[in-house]
Amino acid sequence: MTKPINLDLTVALLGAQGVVSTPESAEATARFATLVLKNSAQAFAQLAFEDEPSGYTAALRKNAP
Amino acid sequence: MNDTAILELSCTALAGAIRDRQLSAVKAMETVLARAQTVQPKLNAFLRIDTDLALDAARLADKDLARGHLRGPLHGVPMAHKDMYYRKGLASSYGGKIGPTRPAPATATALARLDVAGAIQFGVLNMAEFAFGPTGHNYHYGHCRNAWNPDYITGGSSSGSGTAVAARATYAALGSDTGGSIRLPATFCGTSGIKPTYARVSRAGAMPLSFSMDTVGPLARTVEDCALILATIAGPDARDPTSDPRPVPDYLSAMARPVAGLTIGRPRQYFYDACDPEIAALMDASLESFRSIGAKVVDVDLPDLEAWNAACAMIISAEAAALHGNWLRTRAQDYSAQVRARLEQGLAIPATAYLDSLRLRGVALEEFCRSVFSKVDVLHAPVVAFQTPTIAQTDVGGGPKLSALMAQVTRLTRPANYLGVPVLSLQAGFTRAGLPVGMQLLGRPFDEATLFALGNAYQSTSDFHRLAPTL
Repeated sequence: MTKPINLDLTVALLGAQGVVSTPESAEATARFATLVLKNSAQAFAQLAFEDEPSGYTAALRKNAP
Repeated sequence: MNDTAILELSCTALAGAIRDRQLSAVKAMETVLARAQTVQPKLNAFLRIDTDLALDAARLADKDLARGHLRGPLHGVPMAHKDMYYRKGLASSYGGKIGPTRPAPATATALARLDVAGAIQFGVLNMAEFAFGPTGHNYHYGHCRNAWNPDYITGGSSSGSGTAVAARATYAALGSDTGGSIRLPATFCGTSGIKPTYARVSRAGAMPLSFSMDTVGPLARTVEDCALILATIAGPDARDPTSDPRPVPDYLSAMARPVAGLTIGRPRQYFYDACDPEIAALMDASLESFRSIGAKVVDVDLPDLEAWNAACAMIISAEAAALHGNWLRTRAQDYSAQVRARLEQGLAIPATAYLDSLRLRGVALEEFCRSVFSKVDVLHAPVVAFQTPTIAQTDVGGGPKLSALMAQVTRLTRPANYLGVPVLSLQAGFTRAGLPVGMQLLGRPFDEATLFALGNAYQSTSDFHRLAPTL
C-alpha cells in the first residue's frame, strides 16, 4: 500500500517553487501525484539502463507503414 | 439551393458547389453567419464572429473565381477555429483570462495552409481554458453547450469546435488533441474528427499545452472532410522542428482503397472496463457494420495501459506547469480554480518521473505495435465508457472530485496520445436519451490513410453523420 503524499510537504514543495497553493489545489495535487507515481512505478522499474527519450521518435518512424 | 440545403453540405460538397458556380462564396458565408448568430445564444460556441471581414473575404473569393483563379480545394469554404491558433495581428484568448500581451507576429501554419487552400475563417470558437479541460466547461467565457441538448456537456477541450460543427454553424473547425480534446467533443457532439500522428501536423503558431503530446487536427461532419483538411494542413514545416519530414500521402485517393480484408481489433482489456451497456451495444453494432463491408473483426489482447496512462498524465502536467510557471507565480488568481489546481499538479512531479515517462514512451509504442498491429490493421474502441453527463453533473471546479473526473473522462483517449498513434473518431449512433456516441479507430503511426478508408466506407453504410440536431 503506497502512503499518500503528505499535504504539508505538497504545500512546501509548491511554495519552494514560488507558487502559493490553495487548500483545495494542494489536496488535488497530493492526490494526483500519489496516484500517477503509484500506477507507473512498476513500468519504470522495468526500463532498461539504456532507454532514453529519443527511443520514442525512432519507434514512431520504425513502425510507420 | 435553400439555406437548409446549403448548411447540410459537407466541406467537400460545398467546395464543389462553389467551384462549379452553383453557389457563391458570399451566399455560403451569409448562410453560415446567420446560422452561427442563431445558435450562439443557445450553445455559446463562438468567442468572436468576424462578420464584415468574412464577407469581404468571401467577395474576394468570388471575384477570384470569376477571373478563373481557383485558390485550392477549399475555395470559399467558411470555417471557424478553436481560439488558440495565432492569426497575425490578432490576439487569441486561449479560452482564458490570461492571454497573449500582444498580437501574434505570424499566422499559425495550420491556418496559413487552410488560407492557401481557399478556406475563409469567420470566427473563433470557445474552448476549455488553455485547452486544459475535457468537459467543455469554461469559467471565464461561459460553458459551451451540446447542440443535441444544451444541458449536456460538449466535451473538451475543443468544445466550440464540436458543438459548432454539429449545429451546422461551421463547415469544419480545427481542434487540438493532447489527451482527447478532438475525440471527446467529436463523440459527445456527434461529429467526425482526426487526431493525427504526433508530428504529422505542424504545431507552429498553436498555443502549446504539452509539447510532447500536442496534436493539431480537424473536426468535421464526415470522414472525407477530415481527410481533405488533414491533407491540407499536414506535412513538414521549418517553423516546427518537431514536425515529421515525410511527405503527406494522398488521403483522398486512399479513401477509395478497398477495405475488404482489413482486420479490425476489438480490445479484450481496458477499453470495456465498466463500459455502459448501451455504449457497448453501439460498439458491437458498429463492428457489425464493418463486417458487412468486408472487414474482419478479431479480439486482441492489449498490454497494460494503466501505467502508460499515468506516464502520459505526468508528461502533460509537468510540461503544462513549466509553460505556465511564470503566470502561476504571478497571476494564479486569474486562472479558474480547476485549471489552477491541474497546473499545480505538474509542479509535484519529480524530474525523474517525468524523464522515466519519456523513456518509457518508445518502449510502450514498440510493445503496442508488436501486440496489436502485428495482428490487426486498426484497433476499434469506445471513446468514453459512460453516457454523456450534464454540465451540472460535471461542474466540479477545483474540488475534491476533480482528479477522479479528469481520469474518468480521458481514460480511453490518453493512451493514444502517449503512443502518438493516429486516431479517427466517428459517429457510432445515439443513446436512448438522444445523445450521440462515438467510436475511435487507432492506427499505426503515420497510417491515417487506412483509418480514412475504413471510416469513409463505414459512413457509406451509415446515416449517423447526416443527422442534425434540432435547435
